[in-house]
Amino acid sequence: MNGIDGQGRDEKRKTPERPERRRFLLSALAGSLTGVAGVMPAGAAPQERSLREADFYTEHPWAG
Amino acid sequence: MVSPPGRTGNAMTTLVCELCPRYCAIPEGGAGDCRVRVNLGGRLIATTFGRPSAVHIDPMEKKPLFHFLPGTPIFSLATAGCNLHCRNCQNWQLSQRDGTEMEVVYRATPEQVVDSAREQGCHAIAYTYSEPLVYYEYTLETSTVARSQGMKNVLVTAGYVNPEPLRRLCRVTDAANVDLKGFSEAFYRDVCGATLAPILKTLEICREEGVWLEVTHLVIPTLNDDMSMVRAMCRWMARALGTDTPLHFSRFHPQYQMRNLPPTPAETLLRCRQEALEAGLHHVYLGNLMGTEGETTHCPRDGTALIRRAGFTILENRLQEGRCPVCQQAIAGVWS
Repeated sequence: MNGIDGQGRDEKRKTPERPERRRFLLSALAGSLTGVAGVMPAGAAPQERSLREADFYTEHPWAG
Repeated sequence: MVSPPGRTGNAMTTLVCELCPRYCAIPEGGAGDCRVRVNLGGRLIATTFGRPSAVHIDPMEKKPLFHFLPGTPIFSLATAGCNLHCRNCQNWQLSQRDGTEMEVVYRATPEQVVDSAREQGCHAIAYTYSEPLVYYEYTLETSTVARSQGMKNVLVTAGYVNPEPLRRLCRVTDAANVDLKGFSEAFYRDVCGATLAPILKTLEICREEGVWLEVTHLVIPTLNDDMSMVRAMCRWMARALGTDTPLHFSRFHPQYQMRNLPPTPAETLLRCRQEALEAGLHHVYLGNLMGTEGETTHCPRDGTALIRRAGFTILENRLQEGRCPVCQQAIAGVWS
């Protein structure tokens, strides 16, 4: 029951070497230890923003 | 802070995540099927805790919840990740990715989410768009803070979770819209990469725990539009969840990996609604289809039109303290 072929999930699991992923995961670990989320180094993807920067009323494509 | 219900597996560095029925065995450095629950140094970490990638204010009717605080705005958020992999997913850019693949991630502690919701005039928070059960700790902690401040919490979920963590979450959840995507194991296996039985259990638990429950069924041509299956699903709902549980049939539009199928014909949705009414369900709605009776709430006793809608907009609400103004029948729901 590991899902459906062709959705790229296996490929995702094979890429922990990607530096941005490694930074993201390490920052998550740091966040879990300190209680402060969001310690990713500047310049890494994805771009982290404060909730204050969010435009809550912009149109969006998400269902639900 | 974010250690989920996990236990150490046989291998020294492998962890088994017990959050959902997949029971992923996650080697060190790896992720579960949901992509966002990872084994880092022998600790199971929810990487998207405090990191939503979508934050919006929606109408309650968009969730869709038609019997829960109608006409009010709801603060809605989601992180990356999902433990289902539906070929027709409308939100795949969010659900079928891990946190590193998002363009933007917001830093938002549970307290900041609740503060923002209140500042925006919202009295409820929805955990939605992707799958709130895979960012379980974030959902639970934010819901707990929100509840302590008098706000309500809404889950919009596919419901693929184990009973124990679900019951814990239900204690701080006021309402849920659960997708019942099909009514056969074959459909869940072939289209979603999941199983049906845990979803049915989730629906029953939500009911048992006193969470206001509405159900959505997306009707996909040729895959789950067989009327005998629809009939069986509606009869099960009436028996297991009660005839007052609202059911939303939603129109499919081709997208993601299912662009080969046409949109659901309106006639099919109307037939589904008729089957559901004949099965005894009192409140049956049609989503993504404007201009039908499937947008209106009727009194189950005398048929009076109580709430008329156009899309997500309330045109008229005649309910008086949750009752039909004509026959005084109490209408199931959370109205204030």
